[in-house]
Amino acid sequence: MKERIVLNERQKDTLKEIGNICAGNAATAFSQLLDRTINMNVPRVHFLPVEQVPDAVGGASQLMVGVVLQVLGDAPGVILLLFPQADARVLADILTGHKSRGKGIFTEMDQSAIKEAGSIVSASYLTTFAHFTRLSLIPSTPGIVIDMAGALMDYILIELAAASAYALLLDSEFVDAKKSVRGHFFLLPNPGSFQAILKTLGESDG
Amino acid sequence: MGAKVLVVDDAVFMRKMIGDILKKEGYEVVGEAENGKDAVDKYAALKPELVTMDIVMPKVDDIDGIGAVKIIINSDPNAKILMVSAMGQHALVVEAIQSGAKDFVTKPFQPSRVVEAAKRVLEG
Amino acid sequence: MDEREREINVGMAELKIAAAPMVLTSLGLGSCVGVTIYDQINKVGGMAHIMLPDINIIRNKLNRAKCVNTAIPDLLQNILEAGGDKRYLKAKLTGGAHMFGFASNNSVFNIGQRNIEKSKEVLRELGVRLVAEDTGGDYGRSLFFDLVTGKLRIRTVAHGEKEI
Repeated sequence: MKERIVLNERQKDTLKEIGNICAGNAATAFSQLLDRTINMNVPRVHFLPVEQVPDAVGGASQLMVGVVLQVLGDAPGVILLLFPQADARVLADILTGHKSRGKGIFTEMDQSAIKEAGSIVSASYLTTFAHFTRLSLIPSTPGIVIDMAGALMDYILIELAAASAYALLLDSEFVDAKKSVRGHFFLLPNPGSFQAILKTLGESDG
Repeated sequence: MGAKVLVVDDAVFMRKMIGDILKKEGYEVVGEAENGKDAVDKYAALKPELVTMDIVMPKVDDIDGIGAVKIIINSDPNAKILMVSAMGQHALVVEAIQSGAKDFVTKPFQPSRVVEAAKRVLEG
Repeated sequence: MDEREREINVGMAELKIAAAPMVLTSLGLGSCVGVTIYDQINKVGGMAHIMLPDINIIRNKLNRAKCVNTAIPDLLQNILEAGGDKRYLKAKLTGGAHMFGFASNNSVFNIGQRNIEKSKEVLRELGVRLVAEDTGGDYGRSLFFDLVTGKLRIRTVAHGEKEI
């Protein structure tokens, strides 16, 4: 079965503009939570073979802390927040008010704090996204995994790969002023959601 | 001693955060619950004057956050429940208020927002 | 050649064949499975980094290396064409972890487990002996398959390193 590649440059630009506003509001929520300024860059919109996603997010063997949420509702998908381990350590310290001095172990409280941050940022992003697309979108409760980037992504990509050879990836990098907390926010709509999203944006081909 | 509070949230971090904010204002956190079922049981046992209730929690015995609001209000119509929601949960907040919750705060919040809301709920 | 120069990376949904003194690597497998087949006498072998159990249930079937029931037969075929002898072939199986349990989705849907089971079934059908495995768990693995010795080294973040 031949699969039509559905995303043109104009559609990418539209998604980038909307992603930018969503990321802006998510950054505001994140800043409030941390009580320090977090900036989110203009997102990159990737439309690429599923198996190239691990390289697009920085390499399969990089040690990462990942927060994963399912997007439920009219356009299902997955949100993944990825932090390098050292940055996740700083994030947890800010949130819990503890000084771990860079120790590698993430306590239950650390993990809960990082999950909650992911949850709050995702809710803010999705609320804005839902506002533009008029789709009803709700994040699930978050899960957290500390492992190699490839390992914590392949489960997500496997589900995508069953339905499509291609993944749509909205990638927003965020960083604080001191550059001590850096990470990526990824929105991966399910293949069936591409068209639903593009249609609401008046960008559908069909 | 300030009013007795039961803090309900599935995230241990959020329970601590809300608990710390309220303790600083002189409230007494008499208990924490991590799901709706737990909240219903602890409400009956601890008789708190105020409950903060996370709106989205996994169901236990078919009771989620809103389910817990309904059961608690049913057993005690004067229960004072403050909902804690994330953005984009407007419909759920409306349902919780209609079920008897008194007010809500949205995450992420400034500590002062929680303090003000708690005061409003207790006085209301 | 030093270790680095000998390495050939096998990405997600890829399969590669090589001979001594090369080392086939695959990084960060979670629910994916890594299947190696090796001919100890001729020192030729291959590795597949596979995502899904069954090509019949996916929409886009262009990449045969993505699924167990096409990747393993292709792996075998390519090894035979590269000079491997069916009598000497031995397989090893790794990966198939269960990385996430979503609170809202505690179903039996466990793609890692299904990948493991399907791999064993296909190897059995093809008559390739499975001699070692390191599968399951809830953590990722990186694989280093040395075609000089046929040993498969497995590295993890928090569960140590082992060789099978």
